[in-house]
Amino acid sequence: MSLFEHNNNKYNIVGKDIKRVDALEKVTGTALYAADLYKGNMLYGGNVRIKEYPAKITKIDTKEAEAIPGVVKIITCFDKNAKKHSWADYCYLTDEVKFCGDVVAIVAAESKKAVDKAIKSIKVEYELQEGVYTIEDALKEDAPIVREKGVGLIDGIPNKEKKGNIFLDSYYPIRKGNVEEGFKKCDVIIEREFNVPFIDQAYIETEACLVYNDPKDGSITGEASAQNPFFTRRYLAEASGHNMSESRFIQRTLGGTFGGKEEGVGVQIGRAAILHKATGRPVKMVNTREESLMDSSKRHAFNFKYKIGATKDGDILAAEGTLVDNCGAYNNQTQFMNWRASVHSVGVYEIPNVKTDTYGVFTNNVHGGAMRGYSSPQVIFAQEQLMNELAKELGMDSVELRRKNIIRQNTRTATNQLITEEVILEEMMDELLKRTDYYSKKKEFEDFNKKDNNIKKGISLVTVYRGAGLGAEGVDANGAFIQATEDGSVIINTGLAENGQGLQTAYAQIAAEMLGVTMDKIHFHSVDTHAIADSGMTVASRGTTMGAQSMKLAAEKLALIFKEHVAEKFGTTVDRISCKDNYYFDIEDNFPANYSSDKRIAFKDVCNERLWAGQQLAVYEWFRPALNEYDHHIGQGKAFPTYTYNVCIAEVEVDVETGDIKVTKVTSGLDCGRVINPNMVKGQMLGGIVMGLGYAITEEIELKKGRILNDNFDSYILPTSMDMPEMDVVLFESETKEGTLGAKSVGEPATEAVAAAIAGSVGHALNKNVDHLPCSLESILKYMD
Amino acid sequence: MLNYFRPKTIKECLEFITDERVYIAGGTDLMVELKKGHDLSNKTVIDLTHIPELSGVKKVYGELEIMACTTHDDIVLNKDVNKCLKALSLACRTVGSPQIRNKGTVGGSVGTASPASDPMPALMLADGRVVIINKKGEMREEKLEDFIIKPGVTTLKNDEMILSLKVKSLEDYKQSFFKIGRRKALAIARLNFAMAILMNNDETIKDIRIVVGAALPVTKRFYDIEKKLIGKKITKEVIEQVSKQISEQVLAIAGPRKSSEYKIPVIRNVINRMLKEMEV
Repeated sequence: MSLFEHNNNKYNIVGKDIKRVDALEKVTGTALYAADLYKGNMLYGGNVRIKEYPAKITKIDTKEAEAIPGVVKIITCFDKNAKKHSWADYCYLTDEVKFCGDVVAIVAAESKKAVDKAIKSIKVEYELQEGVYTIEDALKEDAPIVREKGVGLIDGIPNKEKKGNIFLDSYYPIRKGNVEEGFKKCDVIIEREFNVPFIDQAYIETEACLVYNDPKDGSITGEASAQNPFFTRRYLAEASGHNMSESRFIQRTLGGTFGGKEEGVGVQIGRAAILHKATGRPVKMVNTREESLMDSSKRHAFNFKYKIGATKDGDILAAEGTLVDNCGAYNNQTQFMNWRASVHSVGVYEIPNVKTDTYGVFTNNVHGGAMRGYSSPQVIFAQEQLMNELAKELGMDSVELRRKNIIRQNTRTATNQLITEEVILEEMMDELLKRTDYYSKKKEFEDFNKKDNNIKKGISLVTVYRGAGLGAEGVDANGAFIQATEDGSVIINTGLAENGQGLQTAYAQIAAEMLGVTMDKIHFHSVDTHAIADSGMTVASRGTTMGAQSMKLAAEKLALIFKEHVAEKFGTTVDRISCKDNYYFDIEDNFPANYSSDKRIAFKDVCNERLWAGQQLAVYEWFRPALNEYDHHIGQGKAFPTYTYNVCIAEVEVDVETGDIKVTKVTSGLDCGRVINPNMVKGQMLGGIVMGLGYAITEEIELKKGRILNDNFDSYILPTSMDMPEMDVVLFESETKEGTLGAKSVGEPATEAVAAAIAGSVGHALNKNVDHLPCSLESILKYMD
Repeated sequence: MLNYFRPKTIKECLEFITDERVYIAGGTDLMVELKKGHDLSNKTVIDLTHIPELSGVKKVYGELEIMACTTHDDIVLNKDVNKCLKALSLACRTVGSPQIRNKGTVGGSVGTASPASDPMPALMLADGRVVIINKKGEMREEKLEDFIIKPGVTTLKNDEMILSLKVKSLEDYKQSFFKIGRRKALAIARLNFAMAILMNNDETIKDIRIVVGAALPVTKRFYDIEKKLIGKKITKEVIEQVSKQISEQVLAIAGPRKSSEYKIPVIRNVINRMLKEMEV
């Protein structure tokens, strides 16, 4: 059995319910968020935007605004050198407004009030242009061109020989086997189309930053609620024109990000840097909720067209699909994200013939970006409803159809990657089926639904897998620094960032375990770009599985150096020395009594000795994984070093007379390799269920010609505690040599299957194909028509 | 310049009333409006939160007088309301969140004239009347249906304020309230309904009251349909007929809108269901 609680744990700290190291500061409110920062002589910054898009700005009148007391500086897109492209593809200031977040002028003033007043007083004149807003419209032959670089389709494939709205860099094909031949052998072939809308990360803390000059640090210093410190430094340096070595970025405590505080915070800090340069004073910018919703990237809206075929016994022989996402007007994410979408485009199933095309289209909407899953919640929603539909068509139990086709050890994925590691997916399915009493419930619900009742009940299981870390999307390299001090306490420093996911605690556990010290001895230094090397972004659920590798290496190396010290001292060998709870001891014998009366040596004494002897107390290590062999032209090869597996079962009650859905229970089982901290993994899974529930039922960015209609949480509907189902989360462990101490991903797998399972159970309750999200009141009534 | 007054008595309050007055009771609407850019400069804000006489429920002669600044939570907890107008306590229970229920007032809910007000259907159910007082101390009463003209607009004059709401005790009636929102809390009603029924011994209807909110610009009670039901038994046919008539009436008034696609069939379904439950 691979259930976590049945496994033996050889570690002292890893695998234990260690309390989060940042828990106290968060629950007592002492954690310092970017919006909490103040500097003497500080100015407040603000953005001027228009309400219709796309448009060409013709005139900006700032006279009235300049006269407002407290207004210090106004910079418009017409000022010299003001219009500048940012690293994220869009401009800090622009006269060509393409979407609701575009900024035409920025203001710095002595007070927030003066900023707001100035923004209202600035008169912007513009010529409205014809826009494109939906995927469907973007693909029309005569659609207006949103971006110069957009291409068209030739024979259904994006081709640069033709103008259009497709973002060529975001195109990823998968070509495995021969789908035409595959379909010929199928007894049943179905085609289905699915749609999902944009949704927002909806973190409680909106984006905030402070930019100032501390001559000691260099020329410019920024602090912000940024998910990716090194990524943010790029904007700071770029917008201010300073060398990166003179641009220091410090990450503050994050009040949620989920992928949202990447380019949005980068551009924000860039604008603050421009105002800081112009005024010579510290500048702070804090987004309102409305600005946050307008400006921050969204989970991509997608359109899926799938065709899938199987023999009458349920062997899936071929799958074909076109996955098109709405990039919005700008992009720095779809070209990466769609690779992941393509790799997972036909789910966790072994299918011999696969042909899928994944690409994004430019529109005049807010841009798609990262949001917990990076395409997987969308793809899994569509893919798993497709499986349910295929099962229905085959007259087969949908769980059995999955069981028959799932990836197992020594089978090949859609990218033809041979899975050599242990796969416990079937075992996980069986455990969850048992725990939920799935089959008797299913029968009970179906009998119940035959009655003339306004409530219909449904249950559905989905199976998914997820490539851990960046895979062939990038290089999962990272650095870590560990230093012991003379009193036996240890500072750890890494290029990966605490984003609320519990990274500090996991890293501290790993370092403590390797060194043999207790958790209270480890202090995690959060990211300061002047103190550690660029280790890439803290994304793709790579933090622990890949990002902690260098931390483990560094701690391991320091532990070895210290053991050598102790061994040498007593004329014994390193393999006989162990350290636990801050004391070294001999694993077979005891240390000579003349050294230590209790026959052990304190870690702090070793540190102290080494300091005064001028011996090494710190280690810096770099980790670079083996590169994956992957052919991006046909989407074939080793996509990821290892995969996380998840099984999710949702149960619902649907009121077919009102469209109201009550999610009664969600059971989620996760194989994330070695569990570093069970409570934190469970926390991630519970949070993942909550987010998945919102995606399934209530959340949707409502757009009208690019304008976001629901721009605050009164109308952008997040589920509340009253909407929560009973939740059961189950941890599994499987063997992998790839992740840090065998750990795989948690953050994104925890949420990616939930909406699919809820939609599946709604589909089961209504006996319909749920073909779009969210399952709103209105959509349920339509299914019942 | 903004003037702000916080009177301690109704008498004191009346003195502060000017043509530019804006009342703040719970602030659950005004604060949201302010954030949206509602301009209060040159207004006189009168804070009603410190007038004890403006809060509480009195029971007089088969009626309840609910003072304007009684909060939703006060109503939920009030024994007389629970006994005489159960539908109102059920309705107030569904308002927003605990914070909003602790702050928001029934007078405010009526005064802002939101078509999606949760207490409104229950107040109309009980022939709710608004008691109004003017600067001179003169009082008048107006039926809720007449008081509310359209969303956000009432007959309240600049020199007037809402003093209380008077509702008939429906103690002997079977009552219900039903709300549909996009989530289980902190939801603005997509639709809300209140119903009350009094039966004769021979299982015929002695009196029935049906109100639908959030479907039309003003919450509507269906007097004509109610009248025709008196003396009838609640049969399956009657239920079908009533729910059909109500949904058709709403459609006729609202006209074909995008939201009608959802609301019209759901009104029919819910009225049908509520009537069935009344029958039991």
